[in-house]
Amino acid sequence: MSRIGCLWVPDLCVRAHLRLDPNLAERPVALTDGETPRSIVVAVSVDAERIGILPGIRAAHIRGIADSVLILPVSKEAIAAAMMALADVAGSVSSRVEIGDRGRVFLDCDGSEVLYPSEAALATLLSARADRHGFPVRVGIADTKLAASVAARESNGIRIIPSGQTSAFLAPLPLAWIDPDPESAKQLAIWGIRFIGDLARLSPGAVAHRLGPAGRVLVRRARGEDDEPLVARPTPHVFEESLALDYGIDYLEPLIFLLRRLIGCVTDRIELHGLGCRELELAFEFENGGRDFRRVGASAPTTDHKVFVTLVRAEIEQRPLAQAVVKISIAGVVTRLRPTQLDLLRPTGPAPAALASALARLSVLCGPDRVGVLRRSDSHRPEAVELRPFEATPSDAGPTPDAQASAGPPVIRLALRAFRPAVELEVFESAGQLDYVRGRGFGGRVVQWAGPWRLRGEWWTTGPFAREYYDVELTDGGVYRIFRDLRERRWLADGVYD
Amino acid sequence: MVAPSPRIRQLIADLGPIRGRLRHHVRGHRSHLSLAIPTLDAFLDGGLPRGAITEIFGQVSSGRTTFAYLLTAAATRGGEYVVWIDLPNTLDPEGVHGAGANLERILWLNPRDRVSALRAVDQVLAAGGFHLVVLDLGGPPTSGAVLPSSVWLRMARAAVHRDAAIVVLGATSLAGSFATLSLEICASRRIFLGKGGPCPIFEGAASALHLRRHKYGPPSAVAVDLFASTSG
Repeated sequence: MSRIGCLWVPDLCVRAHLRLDPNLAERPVALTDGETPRSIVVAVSVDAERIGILPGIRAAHIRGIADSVLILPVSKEAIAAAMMALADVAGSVSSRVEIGDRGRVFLDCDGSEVLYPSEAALATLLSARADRHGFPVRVGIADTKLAASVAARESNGIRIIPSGQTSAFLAPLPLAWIDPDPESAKQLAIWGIRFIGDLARLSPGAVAHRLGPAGRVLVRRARGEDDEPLVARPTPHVFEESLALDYGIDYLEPLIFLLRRLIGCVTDRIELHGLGCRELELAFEFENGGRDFRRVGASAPTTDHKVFVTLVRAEIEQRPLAQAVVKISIAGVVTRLRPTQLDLLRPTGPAPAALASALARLSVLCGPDRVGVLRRSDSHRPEAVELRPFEATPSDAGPTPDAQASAGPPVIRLALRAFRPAVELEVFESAGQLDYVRGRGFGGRVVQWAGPWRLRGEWWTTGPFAREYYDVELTDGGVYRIFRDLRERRWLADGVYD
Repeated sequence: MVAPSPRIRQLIADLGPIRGRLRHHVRGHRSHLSLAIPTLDAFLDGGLPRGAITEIFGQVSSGRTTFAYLLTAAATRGGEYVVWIDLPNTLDPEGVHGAGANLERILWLNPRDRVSALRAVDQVLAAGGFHLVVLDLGGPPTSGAVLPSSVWLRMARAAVHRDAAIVVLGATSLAGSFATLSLEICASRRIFLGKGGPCPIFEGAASALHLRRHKYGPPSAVAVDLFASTSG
């Protein structure tokens, strides 16, 4: 017997809009199916319901009841994103999740007893997790999708139907809970059948003879024999959120305010899957119908929304948007966070998630081309360096402390502080000897010097070089490595020994 | 000024050995980053103290960078991760590698200014897992750019919290009393071989390492001589 869970958000339509703009919670809200005064109200917030605004009335009538009500057209994208987010909550505890209709999400709870103390504990966890993401859900767990759905709708919070007790649970409930079609419901009412248990006692064949195939299905459902399978959705790889605005926004700060919320929604959903966001794809729609697309990547995958907000801000400041924005869409491209194998004999390195977040922040602080692993590049030029991404991976593990002890003391090699780029020099010679050296920030009479060493290379490319290197000690106390560029006939210093 | 009474003088005299034992106790519980060079480890009372700021200062070509490369190599050989905050953008990867360091374990940062460099220290310490942070501030600070004591206090606390060794490289002493160790390196001699010949060679440089300040002990009057060779 399988176990199915159902998450149901009673006021999903309103919650979907509140999730993207929490400020809406401060006012009564009515959602309509259009933007005209004749549009029908399809959902209202609790505050709006309290002052007498109910679904079904026209938008024009709302003003006659209260002026303070905020009337908004329903955003199908917001509802779709909310359903996806709810599915992500379910996906954080189960690998098989189905997005149903009317604010319902189903999940496979088989085997949950291995990970959670009880089904009630699992349901409590789901409820708390959904609440954190802006969805006050009701949770039902039963043997079938129908029973789980009915349990969720019938409960005030959590309802667990023990295995094998589905028919007993359904029996005292009104017939409407199993959603009969209107014709069948009318006929059953004529027969005096008002509760699910009454229908379950009838013969399926006899009911089918009078109501057709729908009658047989209804009886099976009344008996808790719903065999509708759970159709799992594919694992998402891109997490999208979008927001349509009532009016165009052309200033950065209000735009960042909205972006922060959207980015937070995306990263929260990604975090539920234990993944990291490597890149955000942003699409802006303008008042004049134009569009602009931007990509913002972090140096390491992270779910820290503040990192991406900072990166997006930097991107927009660098390349401002051309027009006032009326719609924003954000898609988070995910990647797997790299796990780390700890070692008993080595010190603990940075945790992958914390490192990713720190690297992203450091990239914002210093610039993406100023953070990483600096190393010699594959070039014959002594000054050639390249920057690679920093990764704390087990493969780069050094020798163990034992190996260190056996390696013996290292030979002390005089370090060079490299000048990047090389500093242009004025060099004065006297009788073929170096006499005086002057560069930006240093200079002095030559005390003693060594050299020259000739270095030629890359003559097979379009940028060959030929140099004569000298080590010179100056009266300012420094020992510099300088060279004469034989091709360009100038002197440069590429470092100081220190 | 009133002279202390004999009783108070006696109490101060009695406190002397207790202070000594207390210092020994504090030092005994502080872990160190060993340089794997017995002379230097003995001089530094076991190595570079963790959870503390150590400043290494000296004039140009004094050998402070050579010493910092040694520390970096010692840390990476022990399997630790190092952050090198390179404000003057002068880190020589070949030199660090030549000193014995594993470059893959060194996160290099090149902040645009001092404020960014200090923020970077905060952020890498907050991330955790980095056991040695080298803050290379380059040359002497320009006027008005002296860092306030609150910066050092914050950095010292972060170092204690993360048990990380912070090394501040500069031309002069910057951290002052916030540094647990203050080491000054002075160039003593430069060796040029074959002077007067057709092609003289710069063989290396000798420096003297002075312990100018030790938070848990007196400054050492004795210096350690270091010789670094260009040929390695």
